[in-house]
Amino acid sequence: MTITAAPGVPDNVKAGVQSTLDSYLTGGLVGPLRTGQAPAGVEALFGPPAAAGLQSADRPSLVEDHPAVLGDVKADRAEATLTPVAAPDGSIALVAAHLDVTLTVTSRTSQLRSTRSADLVLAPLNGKWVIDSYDMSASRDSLPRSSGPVTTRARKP
Amino acid sequence: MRRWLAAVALVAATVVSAAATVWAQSTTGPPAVEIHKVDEGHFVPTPGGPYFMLVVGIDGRPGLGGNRGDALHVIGVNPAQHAATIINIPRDSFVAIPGHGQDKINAAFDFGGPQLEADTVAALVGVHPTFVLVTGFVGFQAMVNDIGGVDVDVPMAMNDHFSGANFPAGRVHMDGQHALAFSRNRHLGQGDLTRTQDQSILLIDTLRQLRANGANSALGTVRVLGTLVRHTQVTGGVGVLDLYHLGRLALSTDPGRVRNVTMPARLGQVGGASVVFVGAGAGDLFADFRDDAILETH
Repeated sequence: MTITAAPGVPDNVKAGVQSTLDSYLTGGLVGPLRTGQAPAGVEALFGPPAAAGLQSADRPSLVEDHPAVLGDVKADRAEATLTPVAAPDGSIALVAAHLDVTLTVTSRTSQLRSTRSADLVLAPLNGKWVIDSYDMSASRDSLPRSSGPVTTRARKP
Repeated sequence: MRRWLAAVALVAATVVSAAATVWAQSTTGPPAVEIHKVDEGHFVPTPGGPYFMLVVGIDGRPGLGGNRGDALHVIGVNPAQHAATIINIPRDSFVAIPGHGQDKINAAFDFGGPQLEADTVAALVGVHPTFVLVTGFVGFQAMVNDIGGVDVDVPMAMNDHFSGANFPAGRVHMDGQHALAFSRNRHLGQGDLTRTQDQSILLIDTLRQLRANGANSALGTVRVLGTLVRHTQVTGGVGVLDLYHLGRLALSTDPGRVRNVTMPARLGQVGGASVVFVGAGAGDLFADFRDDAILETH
């Protein structure tokens, strides 16, 4: 994940957020698209009650599950832009992350493009930065095309 | 009571292309809003469930002595329906104040601050506010100016030299000074009752303005937070994340789905003092309100 953050954002904050978003990218999106296995370790990246969204109708927007195409995964785009908010003591209390991810999965016979655009808010919890809330849209388009792209949206304010 | 000086809070806003950073400046003036977390024991958040808060306007200007709640607005938000109801409680409502007998409802703030005001409202309305937002006159103007002013739908023409409210009926763009005058004018219609109703109009129009500026997205809320937090003091363990959630809750509400209702009341006197008695129908109104923060039968 390529991170863009404001100058002055502490390195440990940037690193913590990057770690969470990288884990989300690999465990929630790339891994399942490559292997067909269920997303791994993603629950720990969400704080309560956002984690409940993984067990709700939000799940198809948040992660890849049972993808229609398995194969090599190419990240056409995986970028996050961070907007931090500081507490009165100067520590970073939360980080808003705008996420753009486009992954292309290619098998011998078909191709799937999975695109996500999201606004996430991350907050520190037990020494880690976890996803506190999300507004994410996901779109999947496969070739050969049997129908148009399928877009879903999940919001947890 | 522990207070954070949120004036030093800041937001760093990053723009992808330019990577420009805006660091919010500290404000040196008094806060426009104090946010108190109260009654945590009563608050059991449920996904999509209603959420209640109390807005108290106080005449807390320097030199005026004690603070009394001069305007009381109970706000219920229904996140699932992006709807809300504001019930305006007249400041002179003669009600039971826990531990203090019967008195005007605004005396509760003087007796026991935001917690007792919240308890008093809870006893009257039957809902327990999670947060009490206290707004004073001082500092209010700067906050309105910081958000670029507010377009207010003035319900009737005003020409009041006491408050400085001179507006035609209809939509008027107000800066901080004008918004303050609008919210203070009680020399029209039904006096305090009309003023309280007008204050809620200002709240709704501010919400409409913020949403029009894109504040109803997560990122937009964070940016608004950076502005508002400079004019805010928080107590009782309220953190930046709480403010974010509160902001998201408010800003996800459709202004067109906000009802602005004043508690049924009738004027009277107790011991020579003018008071407002809770009117017939208030009980039904509160019952309709407290289950889901939406008025289905009113």
